[in-house]
Amino acid sequence: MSKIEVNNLKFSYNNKDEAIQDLSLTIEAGAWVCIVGHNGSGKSTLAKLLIGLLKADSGEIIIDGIKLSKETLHDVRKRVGIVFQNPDNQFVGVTVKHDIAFGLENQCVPQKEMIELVNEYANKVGMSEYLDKEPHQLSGGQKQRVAIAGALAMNQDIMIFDEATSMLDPEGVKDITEFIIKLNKTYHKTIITITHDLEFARLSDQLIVLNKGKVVLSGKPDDVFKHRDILSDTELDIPFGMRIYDQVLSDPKLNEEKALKDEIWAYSLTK
Amino acid sequence: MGIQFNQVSYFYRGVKNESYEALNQITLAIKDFEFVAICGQTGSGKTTLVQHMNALLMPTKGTVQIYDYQIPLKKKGELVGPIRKKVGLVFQFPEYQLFEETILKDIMFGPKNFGLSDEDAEKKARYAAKLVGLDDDMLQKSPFRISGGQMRRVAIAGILAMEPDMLVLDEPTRGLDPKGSNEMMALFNELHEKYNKTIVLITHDMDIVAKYAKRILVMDKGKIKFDGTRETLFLTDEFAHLHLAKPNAYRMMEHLSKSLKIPFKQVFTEKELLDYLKEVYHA
Repeated sequence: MSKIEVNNLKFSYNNKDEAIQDLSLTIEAGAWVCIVGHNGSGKSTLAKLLIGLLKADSGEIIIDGIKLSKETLHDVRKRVGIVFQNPDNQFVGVTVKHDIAFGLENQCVPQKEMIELVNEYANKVGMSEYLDKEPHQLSGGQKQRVAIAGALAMNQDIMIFDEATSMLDPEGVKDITEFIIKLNKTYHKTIITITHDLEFARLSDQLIVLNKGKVVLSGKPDDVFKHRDILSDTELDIPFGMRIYDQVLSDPKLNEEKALKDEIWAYSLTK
Repeated sequence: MGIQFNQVSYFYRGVKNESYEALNQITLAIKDFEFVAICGQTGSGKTTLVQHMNALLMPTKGTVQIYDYQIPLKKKGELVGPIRKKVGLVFQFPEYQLFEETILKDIMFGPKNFGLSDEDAEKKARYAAKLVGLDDDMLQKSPFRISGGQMRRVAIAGILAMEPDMLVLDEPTRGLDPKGSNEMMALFNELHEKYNKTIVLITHDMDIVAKYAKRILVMDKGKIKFDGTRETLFLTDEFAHLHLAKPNAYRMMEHLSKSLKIPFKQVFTEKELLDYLKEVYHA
């Protein structure tokens, strides 16, 4: 059984333009899937549909064998966590420890157990020394770590990162990126990252490319990158090395230089 | 004219009288019509430096000469308002500061604050909207019902409506997708080339720095560690200590010159790299 199954999903914000058009996909347990698309491609809409923040017009979403509906929403939310783009918009606690405890409080976890859980997960995300800090004393990357700790504490085993690094500085990006990979490899979480950064998306197990609310490509990153003609239609930024490679191919003289082509291709795969 | 920092130090005061030195004796001149990029790690003092450029922060020690005004102000009762008309400062994620019902009203807010009539403020707002590429038919829309990239344009138009000579931008492309980011940089380049605005911008993106900036400042621990052009930046001995990446094209050139023995040449953009490869192989 797949972890997440989406069948013929349709959604529109205003009954006019469909933000999601007949979209189907499957995500296996323990996989790291990257959903890419430019602004307005429907990727954040899809994320909101997956955790039931939006309700689909038609089609179905099945998570862990449970079909998402009004009745099962609570069950599904226990399994799926989400970290949004803006670190400031999702920090609800007064301090780090209050923020991590927020979800647990909602689930009426006894206080003693809650304190233990908060400490444990703060430790896991490397924020133990910051438990009493207020949000304005933290960097963007630290706030995102706190958001991740909150989701971990709820024991959600599917985590969605909706452009969770796009507002961070380069150190924050590196920090959270490494942490996302650790969540997948060490804690075996099923991870969905939503991004427009193809360079980052290359590291994932499966790449799903959205354009105008539809899946236009899906597969292992290396296979997806073979379809650069389709990729460039999506207004995504093809990784630098591949861009240069394609332009070398399109120049008749340079195209004859096998050593140059091989070297650029090899370079584009490493970076 | 422009801005002159003289031995400027700035201390942030924390709780319990701790203080943190964010700027350490900065002396720096930025002249009219420059295009300056400021780089450096988080916490190196970039934002603190630019917030001195329109008197949002006052130096703890030293002085800043901003056009005709010296900061700290000498005369009692002198206002910083006129400085803000000369130098427009655009914060990080400026779209979060939008608040009005319509895009037009939001852009008019600044000029109206400086005492212009509705009619004059609207004229300036419409002109600024045109500068940033917002169509007339958008102006009556809510600024909250447009894309993130468009919202940022509205926020920048709000600053341009005050007709500053100098535009200072704190990470203006962060959070935008590649297309939005390129369009934003093209806009600043146009404001610089066509409308003679002085541009000072903070960015972490070395591809942007190498493509647009005529002068690069690198900050580290409250000091300016490098001040020069892209042609010298990557060759200085201290480069390794500046914690900066090299532009993509530059790095690939280094790799190709090593592996294929192509004579090394400094290239900064995709186009420069390809032109050079053609030059080498077409010969």
